[in-house]
Amino acid sequence: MGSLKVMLVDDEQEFAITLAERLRMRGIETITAFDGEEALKLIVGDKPDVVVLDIMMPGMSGLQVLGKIAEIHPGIPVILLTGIGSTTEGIAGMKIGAHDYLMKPIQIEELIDKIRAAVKK
Amino acid sequence: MKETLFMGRITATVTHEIKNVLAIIRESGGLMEDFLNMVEGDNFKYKDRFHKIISNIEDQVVRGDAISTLLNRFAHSPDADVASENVPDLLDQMIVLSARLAKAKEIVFKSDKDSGVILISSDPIRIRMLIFQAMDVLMNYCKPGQTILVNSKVNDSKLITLEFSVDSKTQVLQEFEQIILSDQWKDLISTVESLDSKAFINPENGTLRLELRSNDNR
Repeated sequence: MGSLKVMLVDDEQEFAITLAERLRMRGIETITAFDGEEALKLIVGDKPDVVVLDIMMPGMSGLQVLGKIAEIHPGIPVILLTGIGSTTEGIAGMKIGAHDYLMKPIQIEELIDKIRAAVKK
Repeated sequence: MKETLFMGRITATVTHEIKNVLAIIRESGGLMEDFLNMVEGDNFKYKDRFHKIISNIEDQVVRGDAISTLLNRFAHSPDADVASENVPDLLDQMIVLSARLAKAKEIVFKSDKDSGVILISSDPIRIRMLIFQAMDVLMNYCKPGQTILVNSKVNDSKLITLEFSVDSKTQVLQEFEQIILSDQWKDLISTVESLDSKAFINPENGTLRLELRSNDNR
């Protein structure tokens, strides 16, 4: 997993920063973006292996960002994060190209399993 | 209806925010644990105490997550005029969301976990209100320390029966006779009739029974 690079996109900065630190402690290089526009800029230079993307963000929504990534960088798998207490939005995301989705609050081990699975695909 | 949609939308949005709060608490607790696990041997004498505190934090995240998930489903109940839902899930939802009220009365509701899937097509708000009204009546007329078992099943006439039965029946006879005279019972009857269903109270065996008619069985 040493060379694996993940981009974590969430407007909840405290969540993104803390989760990124935990992923780094587990040997996963992690970069953070706090909105969709920043993510789409960073993705060009940083070329992550996987994007972990919150659905409900101000400005561009997660689903809009997902649409752009699927269009411009179709090889990069996206795992959606949803805080909504139903699977509706996650399933909607998978229909437009997301690899998988997770409900917040997440379990880090489950996220890492899904990141590994996304890279293998 | 616009009012209930408004209430539901705001509540659902807030549950989303609560999930974000819980996510930050879980990751922060997790990061503390990660650092704690890096401490070797007995270099930190409060290590076990900190592990216990972090474990308590995680338990509360799990608790808050379950409550906010059920509250989100509850908040989405006005989204449709008629919905097909699993009765045992509805019961669990209302038991968890009313737990604080029941705790204040020192009463415990326990649902039968072996009911399987029992689908009912009905007005999502009214069916929840009816279940709550039944619980509320029992909370007011049962004694502190009593447990109320809730059983759901489908009878021969395809009616869905919800039966609330009090564990220590000898104590409730007198109180149960008063229920049918109460305004709460009249409100419950009004709701149950709007769902083309029936409600019964039996003081002799300490039970309150709802016979629910599904929309697709009318």
